[in-house]
Amino acid sequence: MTDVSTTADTAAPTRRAFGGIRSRYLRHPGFMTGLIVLVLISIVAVGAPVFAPYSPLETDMLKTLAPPSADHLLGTDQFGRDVLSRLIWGARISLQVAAMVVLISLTFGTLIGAVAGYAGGWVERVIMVGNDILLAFPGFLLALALVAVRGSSLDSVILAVSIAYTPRVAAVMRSVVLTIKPRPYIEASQAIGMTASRVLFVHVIPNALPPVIVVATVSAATAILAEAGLSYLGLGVQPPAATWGNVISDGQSYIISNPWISISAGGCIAIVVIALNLLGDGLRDTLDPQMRRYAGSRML
Amino acid sequence: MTSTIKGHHASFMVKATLAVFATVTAVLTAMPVSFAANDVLRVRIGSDVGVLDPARIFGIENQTVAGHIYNGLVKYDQATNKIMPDLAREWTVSPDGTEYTFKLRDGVTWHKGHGELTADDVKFSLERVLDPETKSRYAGQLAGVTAVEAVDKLTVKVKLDKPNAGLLNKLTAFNQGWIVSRKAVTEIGDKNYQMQPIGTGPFMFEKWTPGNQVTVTANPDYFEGAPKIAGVAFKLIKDETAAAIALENGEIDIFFALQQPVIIDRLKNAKGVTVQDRPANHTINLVLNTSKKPLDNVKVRQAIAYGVNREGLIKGYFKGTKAMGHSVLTSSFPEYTEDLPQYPHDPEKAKALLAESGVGAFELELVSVGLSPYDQLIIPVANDLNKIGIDTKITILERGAYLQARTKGDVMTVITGVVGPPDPDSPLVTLYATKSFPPGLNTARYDKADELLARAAGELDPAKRTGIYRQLLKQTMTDVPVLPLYADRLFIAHSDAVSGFVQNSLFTMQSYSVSLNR
Amino acid sequence: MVKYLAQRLLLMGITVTGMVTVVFFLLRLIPGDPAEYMLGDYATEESLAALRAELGLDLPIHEQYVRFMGRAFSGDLGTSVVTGQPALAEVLASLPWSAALALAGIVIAIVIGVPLGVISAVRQGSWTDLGVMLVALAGISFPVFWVGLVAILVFAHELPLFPALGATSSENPLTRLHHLALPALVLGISVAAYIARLTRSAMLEVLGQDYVRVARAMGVRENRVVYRLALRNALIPVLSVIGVTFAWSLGSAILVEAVFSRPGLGSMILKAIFARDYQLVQAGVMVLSLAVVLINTSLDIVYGIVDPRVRTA
Repeated sequence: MTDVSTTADTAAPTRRAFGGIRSRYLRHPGFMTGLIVLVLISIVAVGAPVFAPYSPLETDMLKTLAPPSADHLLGTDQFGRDVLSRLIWGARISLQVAAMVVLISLTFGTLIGAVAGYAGGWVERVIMVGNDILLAFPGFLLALALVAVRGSSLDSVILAVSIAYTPRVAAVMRSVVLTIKPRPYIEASQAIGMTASRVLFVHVIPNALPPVIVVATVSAATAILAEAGLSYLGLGVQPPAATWGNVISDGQSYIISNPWISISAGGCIAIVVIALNLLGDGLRDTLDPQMRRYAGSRML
Repeated sequence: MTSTIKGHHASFMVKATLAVFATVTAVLTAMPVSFAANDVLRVRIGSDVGVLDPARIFGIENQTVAGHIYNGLVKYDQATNKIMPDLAREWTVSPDGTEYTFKLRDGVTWHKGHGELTADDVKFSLERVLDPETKSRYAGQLAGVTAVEAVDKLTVKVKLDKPNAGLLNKLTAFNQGWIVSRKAVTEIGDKNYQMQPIGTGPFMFEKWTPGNQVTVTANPDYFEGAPKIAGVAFKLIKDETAAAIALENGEIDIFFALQQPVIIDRLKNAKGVTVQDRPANHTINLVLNTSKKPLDNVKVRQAIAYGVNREGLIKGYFKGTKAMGHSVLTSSFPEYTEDLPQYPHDPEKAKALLAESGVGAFELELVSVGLSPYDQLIIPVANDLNKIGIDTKITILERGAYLQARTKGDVMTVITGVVGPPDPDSPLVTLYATKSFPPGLNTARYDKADELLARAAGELDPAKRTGIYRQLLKQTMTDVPVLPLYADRLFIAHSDAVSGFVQNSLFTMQSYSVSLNR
Repeated sequence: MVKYLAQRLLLMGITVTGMVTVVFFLLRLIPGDPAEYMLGDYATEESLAALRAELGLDLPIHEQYVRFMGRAFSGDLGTSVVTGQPALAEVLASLPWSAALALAGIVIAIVIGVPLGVISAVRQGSWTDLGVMLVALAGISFPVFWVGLVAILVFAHELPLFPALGATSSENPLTRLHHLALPALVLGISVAAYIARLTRSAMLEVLGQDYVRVARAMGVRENRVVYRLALRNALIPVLSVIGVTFAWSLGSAILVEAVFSRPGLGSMILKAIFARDYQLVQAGVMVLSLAVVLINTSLDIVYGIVDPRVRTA
């Protein structure tokens, strides 16, 4: 494992950093497990209309709170809806939240962090003070307040978690850029007259990406946990939409009589988050072993 | 790295750990200390208190706590809902029905040394509610009161502009009917008084720990005799499952506001636990805004009434713990009747009515406040309406936004119930009178009930009055501006250590009659 | 050193002011009118206007901001619009509950997390390592409120070892600890999993350093290498993360408090957000951010004392 560190430590241009270690991914058991699980769940999510035995929204007041049976593998909820079908459809929303949060927080976090780190001086100071202010909030609290401002909806959840997470990406990006900046090829590019933005996009950002990708997998996991937490408090995606968080909070009142409702939804969340963490660990070990500080997902 | 710096680390870590432990211990021991006597009744409440001033009070938890602290001129008997003497020993009504004279009990004292109750306190309390400066939410309840006079120390006169058969209901020990002390309110000040209430009741306010509990202690000088328990701790436990476990484990004695059918079922079978229930004074309703297209069309409203599977909701979701709502008056009212237009679940008839109405496809927004079970039962209701071809959209609003939507009056529907005393005016005026919009209570914007309501208020003969109310029920169930989804039933569970508990139908609870034997 | 201290304190002031500013303006964007909420169903236009004037809600937003900041510096955080009580008093009443939960959680996390991380690192590649890391992976991956639900189901219901309620009014310290135990364990374990993973990484890094190799080569006993040399240095990054962890555990505490019906700053802020009680949310976030920033700053300062390299960074 330790020999990889030399690859990342030296001023490695992008292609080498990615290309030379491709086979290592395949040999990393955690990475492969995580990847396979995520691919399978993505297939289930995309094919939800095919895989789900029932509609996730159709209520049947004659079959409420049925225990697991051949007809309903995970039983039904208080409105007679099939729990398994709700979980299958819920995978879509959870993965959608994760993907959107990664996209938004990565785009803005990377840009903000890169600009701050590369520009230096007062630009860096102003950006980082603002960033630190947002970072000082317990992220979940910030997300909560943002959802309260916008009203509960899928968009609000995605936006709130993205805003709460972007400063974290920005902080990582900046510190990585700071270590890249003094490297010889950057100085050389400046010396041959490349513009600052060109240097930023051609050299700085691509070379700083490996650790940021690790952070991204963590942020995806965090986003899924945050969505569940917000839904649990009644601030998440609005019912009757099937999300894993909604299924847990629907089932909470029935945790003693019908424990499988909440437990199976919690299990789904855990499986995806574990897979994302395994993926993140694998990427960290192979791409950038210096990223030890990023010890996995957490509730923001 | 030199070894001295490392030595530093070690001692720092040790110190830090010690410091953390010391802080934890300090924090634990410094926490607000309250009595933990064995004869304190522990009651679960589902929402935090925050306003105990009768002029501003709202919410069943606040009303429950206030009910322990205050008295009214008269009160409802907990079991029978009959109007009984409370602070007033007796009362007379002038022949024209516009003047009520109350004789107060002698020697009633205010809590915590605030002196003796006099007629002036009653005058102060009622005038305080009526005074626009107080911004009381109940000023409208006392509308028609022209003067309150303290004739002598123990005699008070309430004068009306015209006869009002329902006046005593407005003066019972509930909300605006609770009597406060002029001296206490003036000394403590309006703002602080909200959470420093002074009453004449069987219990005295002790302490409120936000987010945790509110405690009251027995009033040894209570005019009907000191309570048999040392006090009551109202503990905030939001989740019903946690509350049920707490009751079974002996962490609480009374489970107030029990709602979840599975938990009711579970507690009914639990050892050492008794579940009591009785019909409530309110129905839970789907209000249809008659000022919004296409809900202005009575056929569309009737189609919705036939389309919602209320029987399924009661049987499937509530597991039979609620009853059918035939009108907005429940069986606990003397005016109750089932001789009204009925709307059994009939999707075909609903579709036919929709076709007859000539209204094309439309989207119906179903709005509920984010409180269980209202935000829950809206889901099968939406599903039922989808099946008769109405495109539904569910909107769950938190309380503030929900009230604002109602105040604006442009929401298509809301789910609401009028919790309160067994006074027919309470649901009927609130839901159907034009004077209830603004402020947004008559969200149906219904405008055809005013005349009958006025006639009922002015009618002093009880039988004729009941007749007028029933006529109004018939009319409103034909027009269906408000569809009663179910008649609520109140459930309370208590441990076998509790005896003498009497459940009321107001959706509050009173511990005065309770004794504890652990 | 003095310069470093002054810098940290200045930054702390800026951060707290910034956080309060963010919250102040954020809350003003929330739809809904607190006056309407307070007066509820029976509101009239006149009573609403009177209340808005009383709360200063009729002023332009920048004036409200100046007024709020001016008062905040003199310790007046306004009055709760729902209860009419001073907001600061209500916040301070819920602070001990949160402090007890967060501190107990962190203590549990350190006590469990650090040793597990060390064992895992020392036995890198063994079954013990794999087992610990799998458990830690699960610990960071399960939603904390779900763990709380299951904990209530198992430890309060099936085996009634702990109370279902995370709070008590008893003055007996043992009863209090008994009520605190389950919520603190649930919070602590999720943080412990994180700390264990972090400690393991940090230990592995240190164990690979030259001076450790040299010490080993020189025949220093393995125990001494691991616990005297490696652990001490590995704890520095762990220590620096504890501050961050503290802020995050205050966020998770909202969920833990909700599951265990426990009062605290988090649940108070949540309640206030639902009630549109701006003043209370502001006061709560102000005190919370002050606590987070104070802890981070003092850890930074300690870190600066312990490791002089940090000061120049």
